[in-house]
Amino acid sequence: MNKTEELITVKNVFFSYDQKPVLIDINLSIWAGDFLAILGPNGAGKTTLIKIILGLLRVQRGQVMLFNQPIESFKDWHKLGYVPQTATYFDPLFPATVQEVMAMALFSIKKVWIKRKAEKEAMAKFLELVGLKGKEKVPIGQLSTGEQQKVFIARALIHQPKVLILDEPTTGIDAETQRQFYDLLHQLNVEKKITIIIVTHDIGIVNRHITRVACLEGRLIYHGSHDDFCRSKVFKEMVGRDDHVISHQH
Amino acid sequence: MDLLWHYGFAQRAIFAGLAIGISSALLGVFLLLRREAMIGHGLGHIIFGAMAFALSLKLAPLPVALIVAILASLGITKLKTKAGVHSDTAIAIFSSVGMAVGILLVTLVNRYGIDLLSFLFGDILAIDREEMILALILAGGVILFVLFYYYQLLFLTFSYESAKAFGLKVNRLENLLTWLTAVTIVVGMKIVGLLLMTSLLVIPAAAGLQMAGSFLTSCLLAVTIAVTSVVMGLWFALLTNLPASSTIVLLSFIFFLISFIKRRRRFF
Repeated sequence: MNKTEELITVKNVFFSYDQKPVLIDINLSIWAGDFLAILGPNGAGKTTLIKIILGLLRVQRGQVMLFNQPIESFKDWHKLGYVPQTATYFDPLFPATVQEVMAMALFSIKKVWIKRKAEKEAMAKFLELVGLKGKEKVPIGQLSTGEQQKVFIARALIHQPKVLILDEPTTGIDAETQRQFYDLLHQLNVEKKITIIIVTHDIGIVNRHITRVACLEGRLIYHGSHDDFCRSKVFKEMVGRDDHVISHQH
Repeated sequence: MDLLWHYGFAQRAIFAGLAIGISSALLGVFLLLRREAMIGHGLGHIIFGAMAFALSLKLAPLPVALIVAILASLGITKLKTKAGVHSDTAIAIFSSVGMAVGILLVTLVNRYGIDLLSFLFGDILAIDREEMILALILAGGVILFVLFYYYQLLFLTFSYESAKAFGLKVNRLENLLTWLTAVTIVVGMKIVGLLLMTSLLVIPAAAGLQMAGSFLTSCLLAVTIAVTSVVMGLWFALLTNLPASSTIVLLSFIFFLISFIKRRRRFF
């Protein structure tokens, strides 16, 4: 993947719910190799923005380009991996095993319903990558929140996406698991060359692995490198009003 | 058990019962997990109204009921996706309207002396060869649909949003599932009655979901419970001369109770 390749372009995007503007004139470029954090308080439009990028919401004004194609004609959705927010995502009593959660992504897109050996090996490989080897037969509801989130990462990786988008991935996860989680994302970013977009209201995630930051408050109030962000007025203002512990490291 | 094979009417009942039972159990697992357990009841009310309408105008009830059921299921889906109304609310709205129309038309129909009660309670032991074949074709269609779209349906049921983000044609799949449910209810209601139809759609699937540790075992358990309830229920009905619909429903409820107790023992 070309380091300078622009994978996602958001141009003058506007979106409103029932006449209430949520995103106003958003311009954002995401480049190959980025580890981008989209920050902002609750209701700032972060989830709306990623839902637009994922094609879950239709752009009302402006334009979104994915891999140099207008989103309206984009078909290669396997190039984007999506990890939803676990807490609001699924019923913990849903009777699906880890293997079934992986298989639903693998076989529903490939349109094959007989498990082939190669596909089974692929599932095992990605589960091993996220440290869940041996948990294939465990019902997903019986795993911890951190482990469930890792299953969804493994599932998102199964089509070998170029971009991985994570919505509030560390909600309800303890500090140690969060550290392991960001190390895993860093490994994917550096070793597997996967561009990562992480959406959060928690400024504490701005750590050494993040390369770029975008701050939303309806409008895009900051978009630039991590180092510049840590020196910016926006950062100081956000820290000033944020109760979370800051864990950024230089 | 010889009773089941001794008479032609009993053989037809068992084949049709198994066909409707297997189709309903398979669809029921998806519907229950999608919080659409009441869709059978809701569409049943609407279909009841449609059949009353068809009979009052001396039209063939089955095609009219099929068209109305498919339109109603489409309406429920649209109300849910376009107007942001929850599934249960959309089903309740259509169910109430269907019932109101049904009562209105039944009142009119009764003036002509037409009996609609058979659609409500049915008589599985009185079905003819054509109805049995219709049930078998339906079961074949449902089984093929679930086998072919198994993982897509599982993904859609697990998370609509993620399935869409992964590029699945979720609206098309959702419509297919709802239409097939509507067709199953129409055919099932005509053959075994609304009471047995809605019960077969919910109870075996609920029992299967109580006991299973995976989605596949949920489906297999639901089908096994439906098959056992139909066979044992019919046999018991023939042996005791009790209504078959009631014995099948009550037997499936006993399976649900067993699965519920088993689950409680596992967790407490």
